[in-house]
Amino acid sequence: MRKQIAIPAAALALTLCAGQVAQAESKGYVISVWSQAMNNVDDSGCPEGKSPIAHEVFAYSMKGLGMAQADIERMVKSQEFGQHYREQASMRGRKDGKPVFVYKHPLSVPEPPIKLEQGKEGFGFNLDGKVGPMDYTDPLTKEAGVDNLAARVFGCIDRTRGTLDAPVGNTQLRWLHYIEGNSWLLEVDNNRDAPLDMQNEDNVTVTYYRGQQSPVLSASGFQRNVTYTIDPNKNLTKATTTFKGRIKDGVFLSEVTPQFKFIASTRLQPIYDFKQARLRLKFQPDGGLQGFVGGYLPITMIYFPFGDYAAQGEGLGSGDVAGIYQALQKYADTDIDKAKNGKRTRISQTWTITAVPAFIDRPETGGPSRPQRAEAPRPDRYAVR
Amino acid sequence: MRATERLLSRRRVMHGVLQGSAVTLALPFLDCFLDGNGVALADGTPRRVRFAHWFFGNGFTAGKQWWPDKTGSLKGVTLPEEIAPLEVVKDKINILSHMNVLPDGKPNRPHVTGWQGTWQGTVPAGATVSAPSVDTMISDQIGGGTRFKSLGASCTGNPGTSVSFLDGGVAQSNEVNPAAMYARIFGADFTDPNAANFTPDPKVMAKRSVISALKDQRTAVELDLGAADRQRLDQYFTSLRQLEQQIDMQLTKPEPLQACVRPKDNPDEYAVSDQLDVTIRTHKLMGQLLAHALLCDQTRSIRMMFSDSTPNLRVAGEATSYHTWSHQEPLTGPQEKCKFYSMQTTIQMAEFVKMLDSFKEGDSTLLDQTLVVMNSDNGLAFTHSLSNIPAFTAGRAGGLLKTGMHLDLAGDPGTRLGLTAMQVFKVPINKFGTNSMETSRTITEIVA
Amino acid sequence: MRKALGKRHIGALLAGAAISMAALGLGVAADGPQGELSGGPLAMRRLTEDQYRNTIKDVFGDVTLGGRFEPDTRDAQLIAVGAAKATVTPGGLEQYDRMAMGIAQQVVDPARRDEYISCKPANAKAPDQACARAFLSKAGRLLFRRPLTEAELAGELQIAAEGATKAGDFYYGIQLAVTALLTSPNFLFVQDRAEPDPDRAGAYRLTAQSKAQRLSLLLWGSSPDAELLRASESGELSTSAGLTRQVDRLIASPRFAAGVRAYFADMLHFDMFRAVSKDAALYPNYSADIAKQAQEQALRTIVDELVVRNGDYRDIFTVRDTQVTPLLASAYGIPLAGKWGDFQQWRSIRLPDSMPQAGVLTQISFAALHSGSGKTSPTLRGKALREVFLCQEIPPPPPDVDFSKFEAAGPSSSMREAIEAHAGNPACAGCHRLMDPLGLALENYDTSGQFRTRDAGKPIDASGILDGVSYKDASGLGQALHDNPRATACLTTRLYNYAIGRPATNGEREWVRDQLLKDWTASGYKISGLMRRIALDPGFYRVTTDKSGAPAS
Repeated sequence: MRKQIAIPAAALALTLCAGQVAQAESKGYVISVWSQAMNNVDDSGCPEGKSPIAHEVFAYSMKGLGMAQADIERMVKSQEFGQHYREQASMRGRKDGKPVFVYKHPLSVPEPPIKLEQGKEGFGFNLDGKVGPMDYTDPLTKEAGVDNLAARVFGCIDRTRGTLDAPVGNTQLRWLHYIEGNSWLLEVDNNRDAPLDMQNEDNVTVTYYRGQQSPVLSASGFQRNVTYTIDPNKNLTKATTTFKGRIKDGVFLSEVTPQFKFIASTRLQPIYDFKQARLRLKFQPDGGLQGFVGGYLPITMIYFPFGDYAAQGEGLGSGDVAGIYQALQKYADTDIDKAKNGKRTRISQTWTITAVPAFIDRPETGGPSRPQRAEAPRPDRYAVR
Repeated sequence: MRATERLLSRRRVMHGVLQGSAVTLALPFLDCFLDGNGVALADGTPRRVRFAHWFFGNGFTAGKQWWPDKTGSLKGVTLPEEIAPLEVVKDKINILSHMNVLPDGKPNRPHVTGWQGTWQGTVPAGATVSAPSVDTMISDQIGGGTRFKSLGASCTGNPGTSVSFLDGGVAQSNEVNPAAMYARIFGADFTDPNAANFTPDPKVMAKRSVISALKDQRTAVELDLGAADRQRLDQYFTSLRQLEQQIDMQLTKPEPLQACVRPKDNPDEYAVSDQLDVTIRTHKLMGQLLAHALLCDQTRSIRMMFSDSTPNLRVAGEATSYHTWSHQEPLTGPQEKCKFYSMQTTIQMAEFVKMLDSFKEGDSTLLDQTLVVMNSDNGLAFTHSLSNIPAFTAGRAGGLLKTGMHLDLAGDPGTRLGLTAMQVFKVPINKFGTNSMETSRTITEIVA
Repeated sequence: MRKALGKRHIGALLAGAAISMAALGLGVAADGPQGELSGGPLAMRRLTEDQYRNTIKDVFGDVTLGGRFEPDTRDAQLIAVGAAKATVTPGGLEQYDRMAMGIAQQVVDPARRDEYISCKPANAKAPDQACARAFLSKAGRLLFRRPLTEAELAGELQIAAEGATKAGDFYYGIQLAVTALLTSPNFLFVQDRAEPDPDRAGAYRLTAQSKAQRLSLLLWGSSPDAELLRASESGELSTSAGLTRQVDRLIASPRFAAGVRAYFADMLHFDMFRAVSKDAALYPNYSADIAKQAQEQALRTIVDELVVRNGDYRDIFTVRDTQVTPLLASAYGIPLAGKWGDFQQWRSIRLPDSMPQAGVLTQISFAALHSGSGKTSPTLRGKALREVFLCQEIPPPPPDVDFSKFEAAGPSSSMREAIEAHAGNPACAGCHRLMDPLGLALENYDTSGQFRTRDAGKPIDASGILDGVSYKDASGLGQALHDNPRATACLTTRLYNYAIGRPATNGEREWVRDQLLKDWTASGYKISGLMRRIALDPGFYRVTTDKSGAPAS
């Protein structure tokens, strides 16, 4: 029988994990990095150059609306174009001849010149089982046919380029909302009455939860071994957040999950929804993990953070926001919306996850489902003595 | 080793002076130190000669020769690897090799005795020396008219590490945080000498009454006190005089100073530490602030602890610190770690000198108007050696010093450097140090 | 030469140890003579940072201190003793002045001034001597720890008048006058004053005012309150019954916990945390917040055990009851949920038997304070264990050490292997064998205080022997210290030095050794009992004389 451990709020019965070896246990984590998985290590993926940046978008948009070239140049030169985004560039859409808010109506402008990323390597999974001309090869697993078309759309826009070590700038800005909002938790469980073997396990579930508390940070990043309570909000149970799979040689790889849909933080992004999702997690010597989740995401969902902040974001250099939407729709690979316009509505995309050890506390049982192991980094592994 | 000169009187001349008692001394001042040797700069700005002490811990550690073979002019001389970073400033510095501390059989307290001997002039039998350090004697001499007699910074985050002592051996702590240093110098109490308008603040005026009331308490508070406690109160009242002076200066329209600019940005707060990159950042910010304090005549004497004695400087992510390396790397090997840290030190030393030289003041630079003494606590740190403790000077102190030389002091007591520095600033003294550390020999070779 | 020096160091140390062993054995104390406490010379101490903070809090309540304290100095292992040598440097006075202006500004803040100043000036834009006198004589008495003299009060009123006139604001005058009180040597220095002892011809004792401040600094870590001042001014404190009544009142007060905290913060060298940092890449769970909370945890553990539960001092080495915040729990790897947004809330917990930690030695504060920023230091930890808990001074290292043995341990060696290399070096071995083995008992705690089982890939051996008692690990060492009579003897000596603010004289040391320890042992090692025993002994207030027959200082 699995041991249920209670942490009542008032009188605390402590469970301590160091030294408890002969017991079933799960392991908790709090997510510390969540970002589009990009692999733009150099400029070789953009042989035709980058997609237009703020002042270029401003220049061709205003030109299309008939502004005098001299005025455009003056505004660009004086760096004033940023403030004109809100007033002029954001209303550059035309519907029935009338100006419309372009970020709400991204199809209301002619197709902007978004340049696709043309590199060979990209992170993710072969979701459709095929190897197509637009697919990547994963640089870590060497798997061919990796479906991550969103990375092609975003890979030549400065603001959305990134690498594993330096995640996408656009995400980082919005990530501040995560720091102030609900933490996101992962629990790894081996579903048997034995300690979790981080190297090899056959029947493993990895479950995402939204935490009640904000993540705890210190000067050196996410604090480890903090205890987070699963958010008891009933709406959250509508989500589907469990992956099944196995751990082999220290790497968890999930089976295909029809849907991985989790409710995130209202301020960052209300919901993330992956179809045909797969998850891969590598457990690190310092007790944390690094991994990827891939699947087909609604383009409206991917577009949300760009559209949400568009006037400001575009002015700051997010690239042509309407162009991003049009490109996402153009290259979307599944889920044709027959009722509406017959276009595809989901695009393949991979996200990268980094997480540090945490304890997960369940309000309904008064404690975590299983004893959890505290994980400390092991300095001697890094120490140059 | 050269025999130490025997002197007639063992009495420490300085002590008498600093106790405030009237000691009349017929001092043979070197003529060149007297006024007349350039009273003012070419543009008429009054000459304000400044002093800077730049300290680094652990000496040089690689166990190789750090000083040049040749003595005399450094022109055409290639500097050895550990001090190679000084190449760019070598015409503005002097290298002093083979300066020793002679303990007369008293214990060598590792990383302490070295600077006590050179900087306080005494190797104590116990733990501490109850005498002021060279920098204090200089700032007492030149800092009287400024807002701060002296300002000190420690770049490793520890306010308790200081090699500056007031009379009685009272340690002067250092600022560790650039933001706090900024607030102290350029905060609300700063009077900009170049401000168009000057109106004395009546609120500050009223504060003088606080000082006079505190002064009035002296007699009563000193009643029945023993000598040692009375001396501690004397220090309090000395400190009170500085506070009084600071108030007076807020009430007096300062002379305009062309070179003075209040630094615009108050540095951000950050976690200071002895992690190498953080220490270097702190050193840079502190250096800038102290230089501006000199230019704005807020002080004429600054202290910079680049690293502590027993320096635990450490590269981020590495477990072992400089000090530990200095005892662990075999002297027979390549000593890569020690060399790395000692060269980081000389790089920063060069940066400091260059930084002072980058500020123009009239027709010269701040460095030209300053004497910088840069020294350490040990010779070879591996053995905590008291021999060949590295020392440098930089700047020409308004034309009173020559630079661009290497001098071999051939085992002389390190107090010769302090004595020379004090004489440059006209501290009335012709001898410095006790027992074998006593010297009356100015390093005349560097005097202009 | 090197050898001789090494031997001399060791010899001195061992001789000292032998003396204290014989003297501190319980049997000796039990049979010892019933000596009188002789007293000692007068001392003048600078208020320590803790005493300053506590005093401000007690006098003005919750005000912010906006300055930086000059580092306190330590003598005989205590700041409270170092304070008897400390002075005020120019930089230090500048900071006192800044803090004083800040405190005074809060006192006259329009939103709060009525809390402090009960009278209203006739004209808020002009001086009002009556109102100023009423307030300043009250505040001055609390800050100077005695009534102001007429001359002092006149000086204060002069400041208040000048400030009010120049600024056109009565309250600015008050602000300046409070600043003057707070920067006065009468506030910053605590002076012992003597008077003839009516019970012993030609002898001296502390004045009632000095007595009161000694009592409040010992029992509250702060200045006397109005009631204690009243008792000292009325003569009540000079009677045995009056003294007992006041001592018992001080011990029963909630401020007594602050006093015990202040003593242990001093004894445990927590001021040294200002220079502690840890490598962020190697120890990501250590932060400035954790360091602050770790100190707080140790002090809460001690106060809870010794004051709230009135427990046995020795239990601080073994206690499993402690307090943590959810944030601090993360540094220990303890699951403890914090309420939304609040990871700073203190909670009482009892460590389960499965946890290796027990007692203050295994808490983060001790392990982290006595370590480097990149790795542990068994030497520093062992030195601290000897000096802090056993009152055994370790001499400074010898010069000109041959480090060739040390380096022979090699770069991939564990801390124990590296440290054992000391043992091969005769110049080092004498002292290091007193420090290192003891420090190695804490190797299971990395430099950030986090528990570990391996070092450099090798299993940690934390076993050792203290005074003939074997232990397996740090909690075993805690038990050994708990049972070691030197630990209790050490506390009596240290606390006595703390109480008088200077190193004890020979006569005082004898009394502590022969009488105080015996009485404390009999009372079951209660900290309140120990402080009470000291505070009620008439000898505690005696002042010795110099050759001329005047009070010694």
